[in-house]
Amino acid sequence: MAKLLDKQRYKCALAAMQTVQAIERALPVLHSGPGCAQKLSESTGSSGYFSPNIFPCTSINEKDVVFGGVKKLNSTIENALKVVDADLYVVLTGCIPEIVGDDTGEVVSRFADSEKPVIYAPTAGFKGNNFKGHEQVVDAIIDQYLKKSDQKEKGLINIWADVPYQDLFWLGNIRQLEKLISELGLTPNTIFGYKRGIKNIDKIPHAEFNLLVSPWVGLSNMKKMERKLGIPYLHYNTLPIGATETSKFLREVGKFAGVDEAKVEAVIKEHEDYYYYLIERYADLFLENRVINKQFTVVADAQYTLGITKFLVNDLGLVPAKQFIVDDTPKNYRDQITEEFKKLNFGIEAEVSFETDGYKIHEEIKNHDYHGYPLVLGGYYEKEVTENLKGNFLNVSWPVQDKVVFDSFYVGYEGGIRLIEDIYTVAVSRFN
Amino acid sequence: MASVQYSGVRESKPGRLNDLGTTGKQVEENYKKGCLKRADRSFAQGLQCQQINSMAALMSLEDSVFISHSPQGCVGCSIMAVDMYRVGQAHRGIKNIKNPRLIVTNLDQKSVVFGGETKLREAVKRAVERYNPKLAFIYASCASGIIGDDIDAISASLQSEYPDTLIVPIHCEGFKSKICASGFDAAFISINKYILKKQKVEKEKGLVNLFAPTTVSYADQKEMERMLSLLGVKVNYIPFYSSLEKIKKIPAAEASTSICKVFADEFMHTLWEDYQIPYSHTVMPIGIRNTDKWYRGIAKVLGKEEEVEKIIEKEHERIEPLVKKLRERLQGTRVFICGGTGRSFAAAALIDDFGMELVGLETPTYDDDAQVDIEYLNGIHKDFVVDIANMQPFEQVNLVNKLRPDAFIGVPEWAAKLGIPTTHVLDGKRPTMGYDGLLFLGNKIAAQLQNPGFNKKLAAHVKLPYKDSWYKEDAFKYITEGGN
Repeated sequence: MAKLLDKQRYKCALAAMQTVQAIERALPVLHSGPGCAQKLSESTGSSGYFSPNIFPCTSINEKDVVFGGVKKLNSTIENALKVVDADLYVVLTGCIPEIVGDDTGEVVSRFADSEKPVIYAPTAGFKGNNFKGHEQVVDAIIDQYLKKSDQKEKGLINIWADVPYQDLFWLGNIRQLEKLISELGLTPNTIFGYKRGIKNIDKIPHAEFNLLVSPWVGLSNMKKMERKLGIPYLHYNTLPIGATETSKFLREVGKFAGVDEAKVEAVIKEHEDYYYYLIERYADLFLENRVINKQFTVVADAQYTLGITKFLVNDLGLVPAKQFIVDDTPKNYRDQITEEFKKLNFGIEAEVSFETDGYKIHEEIKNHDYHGYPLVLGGYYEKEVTENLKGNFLNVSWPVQDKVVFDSFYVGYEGGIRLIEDIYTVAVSRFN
Repeated sequence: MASVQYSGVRESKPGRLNDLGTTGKQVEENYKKGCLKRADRSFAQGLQCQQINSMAALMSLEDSVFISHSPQGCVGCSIMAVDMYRVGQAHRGIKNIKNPRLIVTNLDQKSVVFGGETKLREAVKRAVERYNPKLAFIYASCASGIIGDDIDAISASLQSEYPDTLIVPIHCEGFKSKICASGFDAAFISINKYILKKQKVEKEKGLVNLFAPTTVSYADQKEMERMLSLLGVKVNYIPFYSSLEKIKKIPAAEASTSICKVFADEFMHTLWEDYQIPYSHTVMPIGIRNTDKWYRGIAKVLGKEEEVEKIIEKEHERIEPLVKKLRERLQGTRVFICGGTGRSFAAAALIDDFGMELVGLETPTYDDDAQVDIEYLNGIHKDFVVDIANMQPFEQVNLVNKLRPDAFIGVPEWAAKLGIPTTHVLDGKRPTMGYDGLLFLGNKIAAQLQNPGFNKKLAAHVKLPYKDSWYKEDAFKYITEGGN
């Protein structure tokens, strides 16, 4: 049974409209109650070509609840094709049509011959959160749009990462992953963000393999693509932040793709040299140890809780207090993720809790002895508890109110530096 | 007592419309003749959910817990409310700034089959254990409504289990109304039913209920309180940043008024019926004309007509020379306005203070109240386009592109992409209302229109997401008669 949520950390499956929104010129068409798009949108960074108020919506009313909303859906799709200039129309269903039993798939199938593709993903809010919704949208693309291909392009690799918009840094992170992969001499292919879109979706079947960089989100999509499109995958479960993890990442991807080892090492050396040039200049900041305390807690989606914990322990020499994963990670992935928290350097292990109840998390933070002011990286809700403890707070996970991010990122060598800048900017602007 | 209990659904009022494309002159005439028919749209973009309004109305109440009896997405935008609440506390000088306590029951597939009662009981139990609140509000959702959870009965049973927390269920299922202001009414209906309970309390001389929605800034609150204090009254400012105690004081007041036209208007009528509290329902106090009208309205109810005229005269002496300067900067500007019911009409009156000209008006509903405003606007502006629509940016850009106004007031992003200078009259953090607010607002508008550089550059580099053919079509093409 889904647990009650006190200070919730994610939205419902219909928020996969944001996954669609992240694909250039793909338009979500909502078959839902009035106002679902507005409720599921972010307060900043939402005014792109397509934005939540633009999305066509059937805005189901009392009469439709009784008689069904199929007719309205039909006219909404038909007219969306006439009015809105998109390349892919993705119909998403909310709670109401799935409870009253509208056959959305049948309505969508009537548009099989339309000029632009129309596909459909069931994303009722009561069926799961937006991590699941994201996977449903990718599944819909695989099942309803892509076709298997025997023509493979040498070195072409599809890269998949966490959920757009849910992840504040989605755009910058995926661009950095592309950049790192390119440096190995491979050709990255991604579908989210500027100038990727349908053109890159069409390339998916021609890739040599899929690279998933996430503790768990999207793994089911990788398996589906392996099965249906014959694309093998590499699952890399740690978001690489900073030198230690990024070098590890490059070695593993290089090995899987058959890149010459010397080439991989050369790429790594160049990055690490610059990284440590920067770190050396600011080593006093870390060594003198007066600016921030040693103990930290991350309250975030699995990717950031794991990625940031590894970075702060292995690269910066901090000590983990208890860590919290708040994305309702499916149970079958939890053991393997927990194991990752035990693989920190110098035999250090971090305790991690899969917890969606914000109240319990705050109680634990309050009751833990951080031996001084804590460093808390989390959602906006953690600002209150951290302020009460006079600690340092950085808003890295949803919900976000304290940060404006265009295309900034925490991935890679450079991303690690950006994260240090953010943490220490908070710390030095306070008086503790 | 009213013969028929108002359901809280704004569409239930005869003569109220949501979907219409017309002009100021036409609509005035047709409404008089009773020729306007209910319609619908065969193509539309998203609206606002009334549950948001029910939540926003109460989210700053002290010592409360807010329980959304819904799947996990219904409070997806709660961070905006969290921000408003936190900023509001900062403005009011509160040091230890708190988050609102918001719990989601998280209805899932099992609940859809077996009902969500267990989850709701669990949520209330946790809310009491954790926060021991004076008030627990339970918000219905589309899902809880359709699966048939009887939140009234469950609340009644929970109330006997937890006597120290007042449990207030609110019927704000999104699918029930396309007018998000219905959510305000749903909240007030429950406040009356579960908190006030038609009990008579001792009257407090000089006490006035001032109803204010979340979008009113602290600066505006102070200005409204200043104006009312000049009339010698004490203000009970509710429900924004108030408490159970202040809500319980509502029936003790001598009179009521509201800052927003569609906030507590129905409730003030109920207060008249149930507690014989007279009220003033006029306009939103934005701009000189509207502020005067609002002020006179409440003064009349209090029997202070003479006093208010003297104050208004003094305020005008102070403010008019400054407004004149603004008029010199803004005179003759052709304006298109899009906004909620209260703000859109208030803005249309405001622009007359500055000598601006109305060319188009987009507002969510048309009814008796709107007719009064339209009659007034027809008297000062030449014929203008009227789109009765809740947002619907596709219609808006079609109209704005054809009309090419010099300025746009409202949600700015689409007009801006057409290169039109934009501004707005909605700011929950800064002044917009009363005599003092007018100057701040006027200067802001003038400054924004003086430098349209950002909008021009934006328009030169981006395109709106509609096919070119759409701009040649009739903007009201998809409004179909015979809707509901």
